[in-house]
Amino acid sequence: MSPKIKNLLPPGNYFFEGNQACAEAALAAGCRFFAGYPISPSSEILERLSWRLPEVGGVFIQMEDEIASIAAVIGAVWAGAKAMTATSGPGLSLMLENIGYAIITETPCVVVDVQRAGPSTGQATRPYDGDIMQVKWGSSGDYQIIALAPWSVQEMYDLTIQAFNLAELYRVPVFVMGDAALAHLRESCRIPEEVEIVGRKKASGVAHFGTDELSGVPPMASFGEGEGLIITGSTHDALGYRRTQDSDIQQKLVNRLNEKILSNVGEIIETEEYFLEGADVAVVAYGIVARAALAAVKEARLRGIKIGLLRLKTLWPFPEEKIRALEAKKIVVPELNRGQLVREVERVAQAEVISVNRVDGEIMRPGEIVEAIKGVRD
Amino acid sequence: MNDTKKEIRIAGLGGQGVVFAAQLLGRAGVLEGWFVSQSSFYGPESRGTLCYADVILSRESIDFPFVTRLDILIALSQEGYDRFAKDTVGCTFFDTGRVKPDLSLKMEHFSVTAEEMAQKELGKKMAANLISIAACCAKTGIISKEFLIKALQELIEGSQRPVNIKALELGWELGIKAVAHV
Repeated sequence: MSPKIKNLLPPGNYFFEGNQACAEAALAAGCRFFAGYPISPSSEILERLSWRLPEVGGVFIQMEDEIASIAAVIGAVWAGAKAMTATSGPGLSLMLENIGYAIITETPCVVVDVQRAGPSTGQATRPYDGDIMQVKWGSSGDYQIIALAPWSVQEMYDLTIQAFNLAELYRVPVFVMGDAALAHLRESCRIPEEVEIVGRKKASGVAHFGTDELSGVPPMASFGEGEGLIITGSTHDALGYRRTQDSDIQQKLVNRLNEKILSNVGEIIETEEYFLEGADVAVVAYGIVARAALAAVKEARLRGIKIGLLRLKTLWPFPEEKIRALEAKKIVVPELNRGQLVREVERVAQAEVISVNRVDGEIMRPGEIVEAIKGVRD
Repeated sequence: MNDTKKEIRIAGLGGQGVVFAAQLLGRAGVLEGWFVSQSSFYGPESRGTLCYADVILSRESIDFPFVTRLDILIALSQEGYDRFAKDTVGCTFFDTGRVKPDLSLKMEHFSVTAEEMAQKELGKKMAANLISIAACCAKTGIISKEFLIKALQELIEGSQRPVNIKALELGWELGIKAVAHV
């Protein structure tokens, strides 16, 4: 199921930008198709793959816009490739209709969202956690996706590989939520000799769009392999036939699209804990802000405050149980927005929740979080 | 200055090679065994306007990868100097042809005739960025010449390599001789 394959780059320590690490990770994960439309601050992913993909026998296409980009990615997946696109908030907005299509057709694909200040065109080179809700709720209907939040250049590499693996395991679009700061940050990035990748689960002569289990993931087929494939964005039965008047099939499909993720949260969700044992205050943070949060937590502890950090590597499905299990009396949630993920924290937390925000397109500093922590304790 | 952590900012104008210089310094830092983070800041209209890039060298892993305490400023333009000199706690290296420093600021100022030497010795004003970072490394001892050159060899291939190595060597000589203005 998870063969180890030799990496494409010689193993070693590279000094990569976040975007470069992401592009190389895609190749290592087996991505052989990229379609995209350049947009800051994600463009270096596209630029690197424009010459790296042909080197490894893959296909790179610069499309006319983001709508066509995600459409081409979906097509490439059904032709048998592992495929990815990369964009930023305004481009993601354009992709949302076809992301819904990828969800209902259970098309495994990876979308890298290098977030920037918005709304709309906003500030193209400034970091923001602007799309935390957009990725979860932007398309129509009821559904689950997976979204991962790297906090370092190393994780732009590691979590991009993981995104491909999760996409194949659950046949779902997986989002890598970068931002302008991480995209252009250079740090050491360890490229291992081998990476563990999940191959596509395929079968012939079986149902490709349904399972007997309420939360199952059906095997796929590719065009050109002799299977009769019907792929539709309309409600369909297990064989792919449109069933737009059948309430039982609608209910079964929607429940399965959700439950195949929700019943596996234990397998999907990853978090990291720092100093949480006995902490009165917990900081819950993700992405680049979690770097400031860790520095702030260490500084506050030097001042005698009992404080810890819960870092979310997985944003969606939301790590509810981890939040509920926090024993701290107060929870501080710093974000580069006016408070997006904090709403989810508030929904499940057993403690008072304090939102700390920055919306001027600058990076949140450890000092700001330390001040917030001091305010909370007083 | 903190011996286990150095926070360095290169500030100039878009087109002066600010980001490249920081990338080179960062890569050399990795080769030297430091934990390194390197970030850059510019707008969409970057060429000819303020552009700066930071390098953090640390003996321990870096939690927050952006500058919070500016130890060393390398100013390649007046705009860059004016914007950041007052926040610098350690020392500043400035290009004499481009920057009029405010010597009333409480820090060491080292003048580097970077653009002048680049033009005179190499026929390329553009090499002022590498001359400046080499001077800084020579004076402060943060990175050895060997690793600066090794990093450059990784980043630049072909016919442009020798002139860039020459720029680092020139800068190194200037840095060794540099005396603080007070």
